[in-house]
Amino acid sequence: MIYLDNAATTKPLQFFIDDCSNFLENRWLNPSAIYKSAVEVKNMVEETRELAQKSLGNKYNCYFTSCGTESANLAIFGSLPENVRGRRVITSSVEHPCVYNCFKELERRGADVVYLRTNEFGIVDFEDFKNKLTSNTALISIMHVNNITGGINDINMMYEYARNKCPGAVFHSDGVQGYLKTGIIPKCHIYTASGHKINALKGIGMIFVKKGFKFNGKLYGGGQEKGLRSGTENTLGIYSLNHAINFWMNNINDNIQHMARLQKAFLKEISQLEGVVLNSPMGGAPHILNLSFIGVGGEILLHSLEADGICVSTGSACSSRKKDPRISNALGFDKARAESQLRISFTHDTNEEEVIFAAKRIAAICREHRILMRRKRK
Amino acid sequence: MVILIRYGEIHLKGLNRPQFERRLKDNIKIVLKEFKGINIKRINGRFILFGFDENYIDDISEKLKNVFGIHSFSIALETDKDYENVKKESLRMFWDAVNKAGAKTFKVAAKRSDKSYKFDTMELIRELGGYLFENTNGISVDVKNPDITLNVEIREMAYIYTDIILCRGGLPVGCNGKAALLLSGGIDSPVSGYMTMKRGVLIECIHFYSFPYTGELAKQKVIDLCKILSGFGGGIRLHIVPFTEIQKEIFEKCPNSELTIIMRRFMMKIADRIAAANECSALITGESIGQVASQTLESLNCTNTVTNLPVIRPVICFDKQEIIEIAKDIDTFETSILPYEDCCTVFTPKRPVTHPNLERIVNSEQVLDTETLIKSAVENTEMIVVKG
Repeated sequence: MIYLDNAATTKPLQFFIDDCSNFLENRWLNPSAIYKSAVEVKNMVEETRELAQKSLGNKYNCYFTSCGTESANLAIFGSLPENVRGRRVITSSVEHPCVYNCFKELERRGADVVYLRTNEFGIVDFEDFKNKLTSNTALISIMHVNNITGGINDINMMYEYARNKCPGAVFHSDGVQGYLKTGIIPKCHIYTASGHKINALKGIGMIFVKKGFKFNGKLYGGGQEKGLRSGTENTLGIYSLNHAINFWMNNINDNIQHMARLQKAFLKEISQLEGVVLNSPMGGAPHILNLSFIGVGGEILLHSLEADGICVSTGSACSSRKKDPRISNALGFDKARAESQLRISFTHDTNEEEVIFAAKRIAAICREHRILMRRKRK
Repeated sequence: MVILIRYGEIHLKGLNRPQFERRLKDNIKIVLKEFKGINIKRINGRFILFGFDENYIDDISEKLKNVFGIHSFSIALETDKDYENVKKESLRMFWDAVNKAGAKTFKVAAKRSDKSYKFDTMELIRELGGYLFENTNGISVDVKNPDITLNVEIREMAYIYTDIILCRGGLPVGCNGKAALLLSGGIDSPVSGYMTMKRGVLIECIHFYSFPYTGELAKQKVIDLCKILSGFGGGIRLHIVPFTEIQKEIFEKCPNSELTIIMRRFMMKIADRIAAANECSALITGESIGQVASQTLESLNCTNTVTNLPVIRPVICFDKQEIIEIAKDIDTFETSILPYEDCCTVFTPKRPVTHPNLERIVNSEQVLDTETLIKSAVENTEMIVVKG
């Protein structure tokens, strides 16, 4: 299998897989217990927390959750008072559903929700942001890296601007696609991330809260994670994060360069093919490449590649089972561009031959399909 | 606690009635096989279900509602016919029902197949009604419009119940042979399958799969539909026919406006072969007159001529809305409307012929190597057993 859908999920690191049964056999104890072998597990949890904090320049406290969606929900609802009626809250029109649907709920509860416009790569229009940011804004949530296009928002610039103009506003950024993939350490109040996008397990997420920032969100229960997220820790998930953060942190520049090379190789290979529209910006996230192959349905292309053992996506895996045109509309894509989208995404160990093979197959399938469809127009 | 099952149309059967009863009993057993200890006995004109864990009574009821051949059932208390016991159990059932429904009025209804019983029907109603009335506080009798009706049936044993749960009727699946359903993944074909099963027909499903123009999710959707249909009559065999090559050939070689009608004819030809190989004596489709270009009377005539089997079209005269109502009732609607392309949507002509001429269509097909195409599709058909 040639797996080019790493923005949907990534394979756990091999040395974690190899170590996994040993962990389950020997370190399965509850980290809240007070005997020695349980304390060792607790130490592993804390070591991972420190590692995660270090990965963002020790600017944040890290808490473990079950996924990116839980982290985002906790960040958004935990930053706002019970009664949100009339409060201005700002997000972008191309957020992942885990944020977008929180804002839909805030809208239902009477908040003054503003959806910022973006360019065709999903990057928020800074002028629009400046105009919509009022002094009574309570919350801003802008994704770090767009999951469909790979467009990177300048979170740090927006955060600085918001801090000056509206010091009371909480700034959250969904970092599920951005965490350890851009080389930029984001500045904001709350940054949320997910383990399985960086080769850790599914079922483990992180919420990073800026040091010194008083965050009121919490889950009620046994008081784990300093009371912020009660519930017995997912120790295997945390252990997988330990490996993954270590790996990505120590190899971040090499990984980014490698994936950027893969993007280039792919684009070079496909450059002879007509009717290709690049939906990812130059200088976007290195792991995501989104293109439209005009006239060839994204799903047809996807399934044709599947027959060759190549896995790609037509959009975000979370929504590709539903035909929801929200993002394509917000990006301003016409029907032909929207329906022929294909997202190819890489990770550290995707190799160049695989990418070139996929590009060759895409070009061949497109040519074949276009010949077939030409007949329909006759 | 037992469940008293009444059957519907089987009553009208003559000498072959035991055959139908046996089939119904088997089907009930199959549907309820996951519940341990369950047993069925037949008494005159009824089945009695017993031996189950009462914690699962709601689950069992839900499953029973979908067994064709059952007219209705009641959850009943079973006791011997000793009148003292009948009184005692009646009062217990009565209070349960009163507490559940907050009833203010009641009446007693009785049936008596044991003519030697010490009361006749009217006496039993009077006696038991009087007893219940004396032992309740503030609950009055209303024979015309009661909140609850306490029913007593005196048979080999006495059965006491308050509710009659109506089921779908029909005939037990399997007692009327087997037919092959062309299942697209849309709204109409599962409804047609359901309606045919209701008449006691066992079905096998045939789906035309156009990979890569449709994907795994479209296939899974059809499997899910089969799973829902299997709730009405046990496991279903699903034949998945690779159809892409045929579609491409038609698309490349035949007139654009005739694509759909020729494609439909291929589907019927293939279904005819699969039916023959699987002892199906009819085909079933979800066609409805005039719904789309390939379902006008002329189009139906063109597709009908390729098979000698009877083609059952249960929804032929139904409006779309009527079909949707049934689809919602049988729980296939939500699955049917999932937005995965089905095999009909990719190669759709711009202007399909709505009044095709059979001779011209046959002529258009001459350029195709029909026999080879069909043979290859049938040979490469994948069969999946979808368990209920």
